[in-house]
Amino acid sequence: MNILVCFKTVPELERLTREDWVADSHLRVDTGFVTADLNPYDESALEMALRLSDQSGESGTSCTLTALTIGDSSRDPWLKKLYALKFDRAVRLECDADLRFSPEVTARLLAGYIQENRFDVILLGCQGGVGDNGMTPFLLAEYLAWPLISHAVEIRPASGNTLWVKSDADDEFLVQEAGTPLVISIGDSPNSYMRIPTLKDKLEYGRRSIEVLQQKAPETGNGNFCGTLVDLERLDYTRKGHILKGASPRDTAAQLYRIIKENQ
Amino acid sequence: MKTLIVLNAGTGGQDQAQGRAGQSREHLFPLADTAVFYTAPAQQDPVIQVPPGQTTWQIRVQHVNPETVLDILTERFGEYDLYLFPAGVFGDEVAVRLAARMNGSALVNVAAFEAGVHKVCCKKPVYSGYMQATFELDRFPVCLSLSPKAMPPLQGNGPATGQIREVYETGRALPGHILKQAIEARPSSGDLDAADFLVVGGNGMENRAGAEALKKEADDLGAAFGVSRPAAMGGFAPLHRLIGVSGTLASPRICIAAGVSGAPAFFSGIENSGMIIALNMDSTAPIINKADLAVIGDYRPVTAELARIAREDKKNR
Ligand SMILES: Cc1cc2nc3c(=O)[nH]c(=O)nc-3n(C[C@H](O)[C@H](O)[C@H](O)COP(=O)(O)OP(=O)(O)OC[C@H]3O[C@@H](n4cnc5c(N)ncnc54)[C@H](O)[C@@H]3O)c2cc1C
Ligand SMILES: Nc1ncnc2c1ncn2[C@@H]1O[C@H](COP(=O)(O)O)[C@@H](O)[C@H]1O
Repeated sequence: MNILVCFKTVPELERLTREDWVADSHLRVDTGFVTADLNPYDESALEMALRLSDQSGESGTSCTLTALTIGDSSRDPWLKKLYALKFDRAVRLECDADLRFSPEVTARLLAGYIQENRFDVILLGCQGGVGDNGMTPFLLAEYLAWPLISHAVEIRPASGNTLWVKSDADDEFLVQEAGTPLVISIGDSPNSYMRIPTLKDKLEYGRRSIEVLQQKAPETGNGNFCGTLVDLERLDYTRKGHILKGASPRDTAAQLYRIIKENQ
Repeated sequence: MKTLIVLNAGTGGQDQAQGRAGQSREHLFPLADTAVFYTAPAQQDPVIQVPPGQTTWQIRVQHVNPETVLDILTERFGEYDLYLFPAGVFGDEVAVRLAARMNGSALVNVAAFEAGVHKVCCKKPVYSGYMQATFELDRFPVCLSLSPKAMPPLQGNGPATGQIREVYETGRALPGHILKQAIEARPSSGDLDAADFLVVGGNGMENRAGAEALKKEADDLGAAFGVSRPAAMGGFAPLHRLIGVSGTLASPRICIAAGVSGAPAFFSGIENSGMIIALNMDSTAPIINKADLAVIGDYRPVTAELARIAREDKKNR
């Protein structure tokens, strides 16, 4: 089974101070000075692909894993790490466009790559920062005319080319066996942090060169699919922040207990 | 602007139609029609309030799934300018795919919107909730999924006036790629939704034992117990205890936040609390300024003492 995982990284926004949250005239916030981490849903998607590959291996079938990101060379250390985790291919599409709020451009670029290569299953996160668009998997499924299962929380091989997928359906879970080709978006899946490569594997596999493809942003027709961004403002919630000091934890708790009773 | 509210009263969506339809129609979208998709037999039509003057379609299908709903919406309900869905797994998917099929535009998780003649202006959180973006959409139809801020859930069960104008039935099977399907119950987070007093633990709990200890203390205090995302993802506590944009948006009178830093995606879940008490070791943690009251230091001896006082109080009463 040929599996593609689409991932991105997001700046560690909690490191920005209150003063850093200003948008410039292009409605951009400078986040360049903080490190980036894997988008949490994409981290789950990458780990789930690795587990699928492990499980397929145990049952005697094989998986080919490709990781793909659209972004600049700051993503390369992540791609190398994925090589070290035994992804077969690590690909980066380089595109100058501002993709923060353009899931239709992202999905068109992904669809273009997928149509030129042969994949059975595409895994994406259900949502990615900093745009938090939550749309790319849906649009990708539409552009490819492939079926989709969204917000998967667990995936296992079923038979040769079908998958067992448990997914979030608002108030319930769906447990389905699905054929391929298939787009799957990954939702909140506990205990799906990505594994860490061994030093040996880093040295043995992590040095392969990344496939970098230059791309031009595709035309998307009349206007943006999610409209035009016209304003970006800081969301601020502040309360009194009164600091309660007690002589001891017991004293602090006694004061707190009184306050709770008064306000209940 | 011709507006259609689309609700799922089938798989995973029973609460949506019953909870959100009445209030949204009565107070927020007085001129919108509604389409409710459901699977139950005819005698169990979904209960929704229908103000006079508008049309509600009850659409009975064999399975409520996005593919079927998309086909029916494009075939039978294609004449609207604005389609509104409650945000969630189902609403987000159908909103976006419908817009793609109809060459319109879409946004998910919209917190507020205003429909003008030629455009729809929407506000939604971006940058993990640190910022709010305003988008103008002028490619019609516009398909939006609305967060509970823009489409609040109904409190309690309103009376069903039940003036259903049309019923449209169709027997469609599962989409071709699904070979087997089963539905699994999901543990309810009802106690968190309804909680008057809430204790939430974060990464500061460190592990499952830490979460179990804090849960027990919350029990002693008579409070519901929730956790932050890292605590749920790390398996300290089950996912249905999650508080925040991805979980429950609670509105207790009192909330104790122990060992949570107060990231916006979390804070949305407790923003509507009457009083917020933060227990945190770090005096610079964002939660401190977002709380009414804060104790700086290890939360553990404080919550242990609180639980002890509550137990004694109960004994003496
Ligand atoms: C798309 C998306 C959706 C998200 N949805 C949610 C959501 O619904 N809910 C959610 O919670 N998060 C959500 N998050 C994650 C969110 O951004 C934060 O990462 C998360 O809330 C941080 O959790 P935390 O405060 O428990 O952990 P941390 O940020 O690690 O903070 C732990 C805090 O505990 C304090 N502490 C540690 N030990 C102690 C101790 N013994 N006593 C007192 N204080 C102590 C530390 O000082 C620190 O402030 C989401 C993120 C994304 C990208
Ligand atoms: N630049 C990108 N490169 C690769 N995958 C992406 C990119 N942007 C978004 N995605 C994928 O699409 C998902 C949803 O993103 P979004 O629709 O922007 O919230 C992410 O979790 C990724 O899996």
